[in-house]
Amino acid sequence: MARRPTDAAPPGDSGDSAQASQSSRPGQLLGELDALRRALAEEAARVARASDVTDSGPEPRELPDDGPLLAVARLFPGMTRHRWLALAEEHGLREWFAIDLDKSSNFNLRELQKAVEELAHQRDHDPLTGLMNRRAFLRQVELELQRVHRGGAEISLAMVDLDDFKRVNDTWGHACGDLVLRRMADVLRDATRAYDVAGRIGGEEFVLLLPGASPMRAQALLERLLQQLREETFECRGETFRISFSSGIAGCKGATVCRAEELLDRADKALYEAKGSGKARVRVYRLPGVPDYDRSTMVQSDEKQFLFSGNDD
Amino acid sequence: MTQNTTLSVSILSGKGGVGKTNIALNLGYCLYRGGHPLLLMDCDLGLANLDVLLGIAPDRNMQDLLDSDAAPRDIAVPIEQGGFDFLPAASGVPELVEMDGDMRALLVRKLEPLFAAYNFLFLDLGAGINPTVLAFAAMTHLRIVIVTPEPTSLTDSYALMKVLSTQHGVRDFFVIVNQAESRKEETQTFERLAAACRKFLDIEPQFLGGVRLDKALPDAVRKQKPLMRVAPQSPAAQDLFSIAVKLQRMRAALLPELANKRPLRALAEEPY
Ligand SMILES: Nc1ncnc2c1ncn2[C@@H]1O[C@H](COP(=O)(O)OP(=O)(O)O)[C@@H](O)[C@H]1O
Ligand SMILES: [Mg+2]
Repeated sequence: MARRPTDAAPPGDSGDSAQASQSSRPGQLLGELDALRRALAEEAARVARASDVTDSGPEPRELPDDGPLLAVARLFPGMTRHRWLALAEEHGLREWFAIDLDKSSNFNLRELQKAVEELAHQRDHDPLTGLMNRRAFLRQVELELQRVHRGGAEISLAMVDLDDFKRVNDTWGHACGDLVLRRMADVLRDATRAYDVAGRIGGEEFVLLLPGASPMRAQALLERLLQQLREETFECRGETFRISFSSGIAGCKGATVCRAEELLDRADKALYEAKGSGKARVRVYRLPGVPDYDRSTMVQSDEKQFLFSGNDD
Repeated sequence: MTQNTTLSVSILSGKGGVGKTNIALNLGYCLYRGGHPLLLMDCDLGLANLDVLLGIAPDRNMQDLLDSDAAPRDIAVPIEQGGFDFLPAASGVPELVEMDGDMRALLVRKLEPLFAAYNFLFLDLGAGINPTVLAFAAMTHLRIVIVTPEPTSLTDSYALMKVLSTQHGVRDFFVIVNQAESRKEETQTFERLAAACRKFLDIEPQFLGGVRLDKALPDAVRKQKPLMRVAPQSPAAQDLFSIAVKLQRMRAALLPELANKRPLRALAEEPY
């Protein structure tokens, strides 16, 4: 995928989720092995408890002659035997063994692994744009919100909806509509940092999750993207046209508990407001009539008055 | 699990300079003299001053628990021999004031083994309504809010109670009125605060007592000695003594309830 550097995407940061590059990073393999090792240790402990075996010492148990036996395998394109031995040495992975499949073409494991990875990717991604789908995106939001709540940090969510998209479809056909959707996805992808998440959650509806960003910073970013998109021209069936989007932003900060649906709902309300006030604009959600802080804890003037005088007037 | 006998109490106020640290120190001293081992924790993290009040300069503080292998035992400093100890905080570390939930949980986890040896755990909180103040206030069994008759103190304390009750579900508070010129002013101050809490927050704070305005107190501060030691007969010292007696009774009454609680309540952010 062609990527243009933009000032929002520092060099080296990549929001790209192309499957092949994802699965062949040694870091990922080591992460998976670690998770697997922990899961197996837990399992071993469980089995030991269940069978009331007392010898749960550090000695590795001998392989039994019969009973269930399973090998867990995963392909790792680009890995050489030499490199694996070095990794295994360095990370104490001696109990794992590797089989060099380079020469065994009779059994097409490469294709199988590819298919598995593709399926895994498809489950979480929108086939047209390659962005996360609604389900995967919501899961990501939940995860990030937990982090925010624990760390007292901040997070913003932008909902983006293309303006008059139906007109594009109706006038120039669905192929043209798809072109616009893909371009929108690229704009979002290019703008994101490594830990931002972009998704497509409906026909012409996109979302952008920005951990660490205040609603004000998110607004500045979305306004820049809107500007950028509006300056582009699209061409379909020999005609040129321009496109814009509307966006609604909601944020969540610190110890206040936020729920994913609530955050989406608020961003959606702000989006509705953006559409209602003429489209091609970005709106930040505010509690009715209030700047963006929690009004429920604010000491009101009648409370102050009461404290000073001991009565209501 | 062994049964918990430590009663934790946080001392808070919203506004600074109203007497939190002096009250915490002197109540602590009374209880210790009454035979109750007590640990005084300087939770004005980042801008500590209990050590200054005591005229000591500890070479280690709670910050060392977070970034080294220091044991809590080595950090606690005895104020008096045989059960009146103090946990110093760092001064001039802005990061500590803005501690996040993970850091707080780590700190509490490391300190917890230390608590069991004490009948009381006092948390002297900083001023303001920052997340650290709120979190610590929500962790203790009891909360004592210090107010003075000044309108600014009244509103700041009220604001703190409002945030704690609306955002953290904390609804029980004890109040000490400090620096009133007369008993009448004392009651009036408490009544104002209590009436506002009742009317707007639907909570009912309890009056714990008053500590009169007393020149002996700044004198003791200048000598860097607890008031109870240098002027036990002064009006403020006598007030503090009666409050300490109440606290002692409260702990006795709460003991059955405390048995299966932890000294400091684990906060929601911990179990992830
Ligand atoms: N009851 C009192 N009578 C006279 N002065 C007091 C009294 N209580 C506090 N003070 C004065 O207020 C100052 C600030 O007290 P301190 O305990 O440090 O407040 P805080 O911990 O709330 O910031 C003390 O140095 C002392 O001079
Ligand atoms: Mg203080």
